[in-house]
Amino acid sequence: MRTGKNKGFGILIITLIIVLLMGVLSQGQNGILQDGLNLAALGFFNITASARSTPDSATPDEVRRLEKENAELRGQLVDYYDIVKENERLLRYFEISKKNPGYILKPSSVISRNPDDDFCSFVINTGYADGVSAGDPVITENGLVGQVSGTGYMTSTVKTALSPELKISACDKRTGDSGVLSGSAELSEKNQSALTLLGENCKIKKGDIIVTLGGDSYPPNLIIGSAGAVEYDNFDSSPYAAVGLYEEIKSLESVAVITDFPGKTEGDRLEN
Amino acid sequence: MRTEKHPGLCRILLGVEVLFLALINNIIGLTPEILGGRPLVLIAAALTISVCENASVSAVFGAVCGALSDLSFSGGIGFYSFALTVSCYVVSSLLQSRLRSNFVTAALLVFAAVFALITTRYLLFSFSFGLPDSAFLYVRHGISKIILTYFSAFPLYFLNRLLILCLTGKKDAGGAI
Repeated sequence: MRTGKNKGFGILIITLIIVLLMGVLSQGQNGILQDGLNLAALGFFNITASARSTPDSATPDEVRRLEKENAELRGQLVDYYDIVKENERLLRYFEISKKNPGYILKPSSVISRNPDDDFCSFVINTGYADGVSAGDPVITENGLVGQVSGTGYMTSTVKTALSPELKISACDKRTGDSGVLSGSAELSEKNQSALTLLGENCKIKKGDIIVTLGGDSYPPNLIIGSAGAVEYDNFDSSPYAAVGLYEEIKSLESVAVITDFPGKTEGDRLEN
Repeated sequence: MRTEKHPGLCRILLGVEVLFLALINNIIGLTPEILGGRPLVLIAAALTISVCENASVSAVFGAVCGALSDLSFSGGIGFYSFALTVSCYVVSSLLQSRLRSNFVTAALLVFAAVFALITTRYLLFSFSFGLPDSAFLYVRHGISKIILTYFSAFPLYFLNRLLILCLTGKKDAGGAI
């Protein structure tokens, strides 16, 4: 009895040591395990999507043949819609590339979302094999969405601009007032973030366009959202402005990663 | 006297179940978002396995489910791996040796474990990032996550219990086996 208890405790200790070692090894880039999990999720998602268009086979021959033909045509139609959608998406990113010739964009699709993250982080289907690295800005045609926080071989994790984990230097395009954009629990409910650390005499008005200030991590003038009126924090009375993001983060399906831009340095990376 | 039938096969099937849950947990639109939260089914799975299995196996499944949760949530092995390993070991040990093993005790213990795990996770997150509105975050998302995770444990409990009873030949003793 005593030996059994000791054995159980021993296994607990060994398990915890293994977990600790894996924890140390998994820091930094996304490991093989996470990449595998994300890819399996992608594969599983594709299987369930294709299963939805499979016809019922328990019918006479002729009906079966017609249903098969019908399913093939439906499949082709779905492919056609996918191609049209993909073309529209690529065209939008091509427009961004044309306006910003220094940007190297990598269009990506959102393949899964983290159920434990209240700030809508998600996984995309491009990784370091595609040139994506941790710290790269993630955008859509409507503006900044977030930043890559971890990369695997074929997948990457993205923290959104709603998250308090991201701190983005941003400014009011009209007045030049600058601050740090960071998420908050209450504002994230309304697809908003907060522009904090504003000066006492800032002239931000409701409706002003907020853009990135630029630096090593973000190119300058990336549109983020629209400012609300300046308010004062309940805790420390510091001024801040709520910024409504132009992109609806919760319903994102596709994004583009800026893998390179003028002024980017390798040193400034988001630690994960 | 217990007659061990196929404990290895049983654990393989439990492992397959855990992997399947890890896959569906992250797929967009597959698990419902109710009142701002989604169920963390891997946590529920690990705790229900620990209700039915011995402490050593529970600790290992806790580590696996925790690691899969961490990998899919944040990218690195972290909080859930450690916390679930210890929680599953404690739940299993308590049910096997300290507490009266029945359905109500098991249900209460699983609720306590889910509550402790998710609340600690929120406290650590708020502490790490110095969130001023962390209480709002917890009320808005945390509580619904606790409730959904707890209720998702019931079907998993009956599934795991059935697997273990059928394949290992263990005797039914109410809550824990």
